[in-house]
Amino acid sequence: MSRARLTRFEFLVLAAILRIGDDAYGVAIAEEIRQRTGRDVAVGSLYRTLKRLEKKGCVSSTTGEPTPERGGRAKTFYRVEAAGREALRESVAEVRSLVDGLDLRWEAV
Amino acid sequence: MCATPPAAGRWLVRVLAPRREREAIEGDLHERYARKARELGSRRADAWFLGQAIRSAAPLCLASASEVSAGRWVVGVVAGALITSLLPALITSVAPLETLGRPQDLVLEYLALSLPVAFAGGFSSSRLSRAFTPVTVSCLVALLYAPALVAMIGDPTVAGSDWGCLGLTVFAGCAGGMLAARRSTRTGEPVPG
Repeated sequence: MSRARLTRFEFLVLAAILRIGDDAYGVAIAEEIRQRTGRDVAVGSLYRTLKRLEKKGCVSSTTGEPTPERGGRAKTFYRVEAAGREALRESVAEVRSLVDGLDLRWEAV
Repeated sequence: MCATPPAAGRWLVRVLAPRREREAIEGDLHERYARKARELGSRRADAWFLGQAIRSAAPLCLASASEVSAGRWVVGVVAGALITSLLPALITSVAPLETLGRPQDLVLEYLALSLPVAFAGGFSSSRLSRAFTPVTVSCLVALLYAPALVAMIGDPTVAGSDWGCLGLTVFAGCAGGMLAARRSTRTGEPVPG
């Protein structure tokens, strides 16, 4: 199986879904990313990325029950699949290998 | 109190969102809007909602376009091309051929005008709702023909046949829109509103 390469935003979305666990749906994912990175995610960008990740086999989705606070609309829950975990692991390893041993204190100057 | 998101923002999201994700996207926005309205007030929540809708327009458009099959794109582009097929007749009726310069200029002008319409026709008829398709096509035709129409109204030398040509063009635009609408209806796509 060819491994999926992740963009920076795909990386953030996958990590957010893993952190949230079973209750990972659009609002929760956007909120997790906002809290941890300070990025206010546009819903369009988020769903386009989720769609792409689903196509790559990195995530799967299930539809929940409609709820009144969503105007009677159902949530779509996302789960990271084995391919997603592997892609995330490889991305982290790549970043680690690039930054390990670097002295990043110069950024504060 | 139950605040309602601005209609323009809701419409934009509903029209552009991919069919499969539409319910989840609208639900997410509704949920976040209600939370913002409680925390910040309805005016700031309205502004946030509109901002989200505008920022999401391009990604939603791309996501929607990616789920359209090649066959439906072809049908839509052909419909758009048919709608604009009468453009050269109208251009020559408003401005006589000799004033337009070389024939290739006319061809270029036609292509520049018709390609965006063909593209929009392809996009709308291939995935958007039946309510949206005639509106898109009519707006685009009206937008493209507005300068010509203004020129015709102010020109006393315009003959009855020119007005007939304009009428025919508008009819073709409407017919194209309705045909596309019928096609969308057959696919069972829900109608917004």
